[in-house]
Amino acid sequence: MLNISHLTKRFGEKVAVDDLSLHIKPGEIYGFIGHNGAGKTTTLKSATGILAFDEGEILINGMSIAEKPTACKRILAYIPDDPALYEYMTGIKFLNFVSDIYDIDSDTRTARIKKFADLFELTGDLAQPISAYSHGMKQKLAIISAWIHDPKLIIMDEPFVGLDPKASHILKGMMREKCNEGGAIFFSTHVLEVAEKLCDKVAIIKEGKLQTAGTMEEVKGNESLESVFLELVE
Amino acid sequence: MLKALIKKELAQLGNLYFRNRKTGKSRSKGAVIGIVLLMVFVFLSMGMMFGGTATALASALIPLGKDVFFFAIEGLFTIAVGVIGSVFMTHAILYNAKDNEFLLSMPIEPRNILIARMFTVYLFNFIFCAVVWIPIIIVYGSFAGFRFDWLCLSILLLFVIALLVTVLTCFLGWLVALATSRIRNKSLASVVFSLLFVGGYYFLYFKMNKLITAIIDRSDAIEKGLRGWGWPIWQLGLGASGKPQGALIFTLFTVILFAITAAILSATLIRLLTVKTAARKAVYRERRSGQKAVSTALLRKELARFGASPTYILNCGMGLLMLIVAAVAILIKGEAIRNFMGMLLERFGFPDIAPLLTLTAVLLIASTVLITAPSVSLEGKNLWLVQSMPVDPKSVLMAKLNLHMLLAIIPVAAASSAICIALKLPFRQSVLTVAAALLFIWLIAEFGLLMNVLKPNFDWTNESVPIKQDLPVLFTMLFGWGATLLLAVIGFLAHRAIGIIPAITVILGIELICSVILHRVNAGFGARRFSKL
Repeated sequence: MLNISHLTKRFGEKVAVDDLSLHIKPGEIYGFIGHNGAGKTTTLKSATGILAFDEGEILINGMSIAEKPTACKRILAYIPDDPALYEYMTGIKFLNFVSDIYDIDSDTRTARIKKFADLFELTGDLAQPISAYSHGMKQKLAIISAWIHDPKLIIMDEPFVGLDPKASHILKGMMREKCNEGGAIFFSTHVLEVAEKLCDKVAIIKEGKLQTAGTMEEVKGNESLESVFLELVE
Repeated sequence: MLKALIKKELAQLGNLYFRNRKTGKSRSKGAVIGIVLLMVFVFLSMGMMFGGTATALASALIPLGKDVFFFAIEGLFTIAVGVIGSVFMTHAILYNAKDNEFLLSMPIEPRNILIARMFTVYLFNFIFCAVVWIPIIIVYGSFAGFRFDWLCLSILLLFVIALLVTVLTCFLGWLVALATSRIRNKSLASVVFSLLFVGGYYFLYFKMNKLITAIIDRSDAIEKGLRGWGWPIWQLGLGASGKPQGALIFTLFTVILFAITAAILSATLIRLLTVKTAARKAVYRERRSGQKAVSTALLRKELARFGASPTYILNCGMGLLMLIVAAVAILIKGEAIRNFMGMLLERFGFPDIAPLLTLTAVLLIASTVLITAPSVSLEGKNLWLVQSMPVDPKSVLMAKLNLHMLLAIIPVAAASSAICIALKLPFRQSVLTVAAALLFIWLIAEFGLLMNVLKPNFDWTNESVPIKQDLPVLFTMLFGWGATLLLAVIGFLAHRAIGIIPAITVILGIELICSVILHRVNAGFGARRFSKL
């Protein structure tokens, strides 16, 4: 689903991501862990087509994000760590805007908006301007907008930040459901307990370089993910 | 404490003009020189305008020995210009700063926060007042001769006039803050308040000649009034013309007013900085939403962006309103305009260039419609949305372009048609003139878009930065005026060689070629660059 090969991204002299390779298969929840400034967001943004990279190749469902960005973006969704949404729109207008961009017919979008907004208890606030939303509500709206077009691959940067416990629980369920349907999830997190319980595979990055990657068992063995992470990044 | 706050205010001002916002580094010497030269140019242009007004008044009053009256009237004028020019900026500086909560969370007296911010307002007002007052001093000196006493006092009084303007703008800003704290639709309120002040400014500007004539005709009655109800202004006039006692009384009066205003504003500062209007919650009613094409969805997004921002509407869309007002005014005053133009053109020996003058007038106003110029920067922190969606970057740019065209097409067509009707231009000339005016919108829209793609700024925290202070908007406006001038010159030369209809056709051709070239650049290079921003 997502194949990152020898990705390198430089910002001037600084190498943000250095020869990183990862392969995320359909049905996998893939966690991406690293300290602040390790290169997680740069990798995620490169995989989403937001950031041009210097070397390597990123394939989404076999298509190069560099060569066919629009086709790739049609089957993926991205949620950044701080989802800045169009504050001048209401929640429902924003969801309809996203639906129009992804060419979702009226019946399907209406059904999906109802399903996810009810799930996150956001239905009553959909007529409110986004500027009046709290951080958590914006996060929920961003999640709904990501799921609304039923993408095959969802890339998320710190998706649990700002969510209340119930919404976090719902999101975890949605992530698992998406993978059960044959989709894939690639997300970064600092919450190692979440990664340990939720992820099928995990990758640890330090200063732009991949330290380790594999199934949870392969990475942590008999230790906790926290101790492995600390050992690798110290 | 106060010193630290004032230093912070000064650092913010310095950063605004002399530091690159993206890199945080000082601007290059060339850039600083450029900014300073631009400021000097603007101040000189405005100074010359105010100097012209002062000359008209001085030539009538000084020979009659009405020096005090001259300074009193000009002082009043300086105060009026200062207040109209800075009342909304004052409101933003005092109440809409981004660090309100940060400062209030620290052990700082609200009075100190207020005084530090009033100091910034004072600096701006000092500059505004200097632009008006210094030409007045020069004009007076050229009529009455330069003497040390009045020159010294009038220069010192500039500092006091700026303080009085600060008092008045802070008080008005406070009233605006009080009013908007009770209004739910703040965007609409801001637009209405701004339009009232802008309307007042233009009313004053267009009535200036009549006003000066009225002042000269009724100088005795007005002088009597100033000596009575307007005695502080009369004291200003006395002081500026060399009477120290007058200067002292005016200064005392201003300082007392400042103290009262500062006390009132300090007492209400925390409430106004922390007020949150209880918004009525809109009720969501589930309904089936029609599916729209991607281009329509993007255009609607741009329209929502434009409509939600008073700053965007007032600064980049003011030309639209001016065009509509011009269209109505032209239709009402049609006959007078026709007679005046006919007389003017006959006198200069070019009776057939009316379409060219018409076109130039409309293009000059259309140059102030700058919707595309900040549109890329205004994506700001939302840029990730369009970049992560499956939309062609070209479609995103074209939506910005289409909004500009869509909003400008009717006002430009209305203004150009109105003037063609008023001047009773032949049908073919009218059609060509309107077509050339409409094509010009395309040209400006494309140029503004290209400028912003070339020089975007996504790191703003206040949208007035990309709308008011960034180079793409300034360059686009200057380009509009430059292009208008160039097209007028080309049209004039062509008219002498080949006649008026072919001349306007030449203008149409130039506009079309330039617009097509710019469109291709935006659709190709511009879209590629946008995708990599």
